[in-house]
Amino acid sequence: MATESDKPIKEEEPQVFAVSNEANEVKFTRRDFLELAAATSAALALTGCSTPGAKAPTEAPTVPRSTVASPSAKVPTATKTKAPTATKTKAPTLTPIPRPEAVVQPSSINMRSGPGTQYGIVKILKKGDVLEVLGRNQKGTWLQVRTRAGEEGWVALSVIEFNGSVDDLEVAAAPPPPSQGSDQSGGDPGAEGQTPPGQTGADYTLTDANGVTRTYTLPCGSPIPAGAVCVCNCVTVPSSCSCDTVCTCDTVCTCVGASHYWYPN
Amino acid sequence: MEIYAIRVADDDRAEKFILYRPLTGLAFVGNRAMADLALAAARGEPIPATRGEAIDFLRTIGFLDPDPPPPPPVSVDFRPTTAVLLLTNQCQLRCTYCYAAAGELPRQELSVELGSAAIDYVYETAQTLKRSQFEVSFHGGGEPTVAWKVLQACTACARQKLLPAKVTLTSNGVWSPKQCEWIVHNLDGLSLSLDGDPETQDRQRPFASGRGSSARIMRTVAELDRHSFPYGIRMTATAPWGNLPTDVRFLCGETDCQSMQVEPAFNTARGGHGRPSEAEGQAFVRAFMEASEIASRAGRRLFYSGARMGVVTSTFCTAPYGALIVNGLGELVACYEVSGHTHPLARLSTVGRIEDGQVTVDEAARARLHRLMAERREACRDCFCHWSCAGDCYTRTFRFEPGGHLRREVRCHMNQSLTQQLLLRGIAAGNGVWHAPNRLPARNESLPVAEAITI
Repeated sequence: MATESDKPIKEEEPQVFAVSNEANEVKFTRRDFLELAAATSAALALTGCSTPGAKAPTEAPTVPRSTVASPSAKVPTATKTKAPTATKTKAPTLTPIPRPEAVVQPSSINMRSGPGTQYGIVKILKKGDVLEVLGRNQKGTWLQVRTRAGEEGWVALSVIEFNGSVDDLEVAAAPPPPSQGSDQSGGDPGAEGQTPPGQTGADYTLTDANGVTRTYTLPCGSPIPAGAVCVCNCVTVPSSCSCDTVCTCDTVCTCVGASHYWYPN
Repeated sequence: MEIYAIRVADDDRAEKFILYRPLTGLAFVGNRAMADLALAAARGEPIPATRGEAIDFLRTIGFLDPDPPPPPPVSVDFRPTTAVLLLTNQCQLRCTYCYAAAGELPRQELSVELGSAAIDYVYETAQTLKRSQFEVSFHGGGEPTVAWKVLQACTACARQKLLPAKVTLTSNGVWSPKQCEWIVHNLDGLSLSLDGDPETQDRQRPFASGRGSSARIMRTVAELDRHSFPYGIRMTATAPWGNLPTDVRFLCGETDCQSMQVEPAFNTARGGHGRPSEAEGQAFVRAFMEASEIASRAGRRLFYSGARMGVVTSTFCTAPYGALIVNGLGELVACYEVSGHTHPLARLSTVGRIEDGQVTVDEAARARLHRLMAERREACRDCFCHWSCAGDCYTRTFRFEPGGHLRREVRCHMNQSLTQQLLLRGIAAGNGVWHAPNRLPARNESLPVAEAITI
């Protein structure tokens, strides 16, 4: 690895590229920014994913360029209003179903009593089991589901195929976690493991009397409780910081983060 | 905010970079000017107005969003709720690459008393922590089902507890029909060691007599599939890896297994791990990419532990921190592979023992090992793979000289190349932008049995 900030800049205009694999050889095809963003949004809409910050597309994406542009080719200067965009109505869609459903993908998964691996296993579900989706947790990482037999529980989104948009689901109330440590008694200084959108914060871990270790997040500048192990993810960057990240929360925080060039081998 | 600009080669040699945000799970390809811009924007530097369109693109795809919180540092408090019992060093097979030289050493078998003591310990810990279950896993150094009575007795011991037990097995699949029947009805999951098609399996995993094992193991597979029993396949590939795509195609066609793990073995002799060459490492990357494409087309998952796309973790493997691993000598060890004193890292990995039914943890030994592992992770902090590889497997990477745990060798380059290739594949599939579809469970969390990582 080498950091090569002193390398000469070869191309002045920022460019982005689509990637394809032809005869085991990777090809790069230059694309317009707006084309690429629209194509990505459309692809994500089809898979039920959402892009943070992405604007709703309004027209079908244009066909990508078929030729490889030279590095010196000029980037088209389309404005946002002229941007080729896509609507969900024009994009190919799956046949509508009355209620959102999910299908188990691995050979077996755990259905739990709450949204997390700390909750007990309610039932082992098999590949191909179809589940009615009732709601989601706050983060959208677990879904509340009901089996065909009427049993209700929670499954991790990562192990199922879900045909809808998680964002469209209502947030379901989660049962209290099985171990009631001091950290669950209310008055938490920060949401567990979350930084509010648009804010920076410091994560810290605390082990309670029952030995359960949990992660909390505080806004930068907050005092860290005694005994906590802190990992900072603040992003203020003074020029003197060698790792591009500085912690303003606690002097014992470990810097996390790097922004640099990487030259494998 | 963590961003890497990873240079990738191009036909016309024009520089291009994968712009990669591991914590948010985003990547795309840009030229150097785009990389400069993305890095500057991430640092909050002023951006010229002429770059508005490029900045809009970055914002639209979420590339300038704040990082989610990184996974917390792994806890070194030893409160295991999983017992891993290394039952025996005996085995019916003589795999050409067996690190433990199983079947050739003087017999060593875990006693039921030692196994029960370990199970009691993790059960009581689970109760103290108010967990809903505890786990028992029968693992390596030999074939656990050879110690059949111990395996059954320990399973019974676990099932008698008040909390539910998840009992799993890693096995070569050489079972009698009665054993098979018992396993599918009494265990909760299985990692089956199976290397591929009959040619590969018979060559790499013969019986002690020299006879091939494929036909026998495929009968086991048929039974597992008939019962819809949850299992994963753990393949070992050997250089020059030419058969790997064929082997994966065979397993996709002949088994119902949904999740397959492949690990490269570089040793050409039993009883240890050989050191790979760069050429072998890069050849494995090519073979893996071809094989994973085959698996993907068949709707299956093929993964290699050193390049788990979408995983964000602060530890490669939880075993050295959170599992009570007991070998046949009654020693507590930090890795499933350290089944006896012949392992080169046995001294470093021995972190306590069970004696007279009492578990004694050698905290100094644990601290020494964890310090070395933490040093390695810290040394890897600069690498774009560090959130998915997290310093890699210590038994694969530590060398036996001062500072040897910090050396980055062929496995590092393999992991980097594979991560790079997998990112490019993800970018291609995502029409130019790779979004981690849904975060896979980090290794700090429990994984479904079929996806358990075994090296």
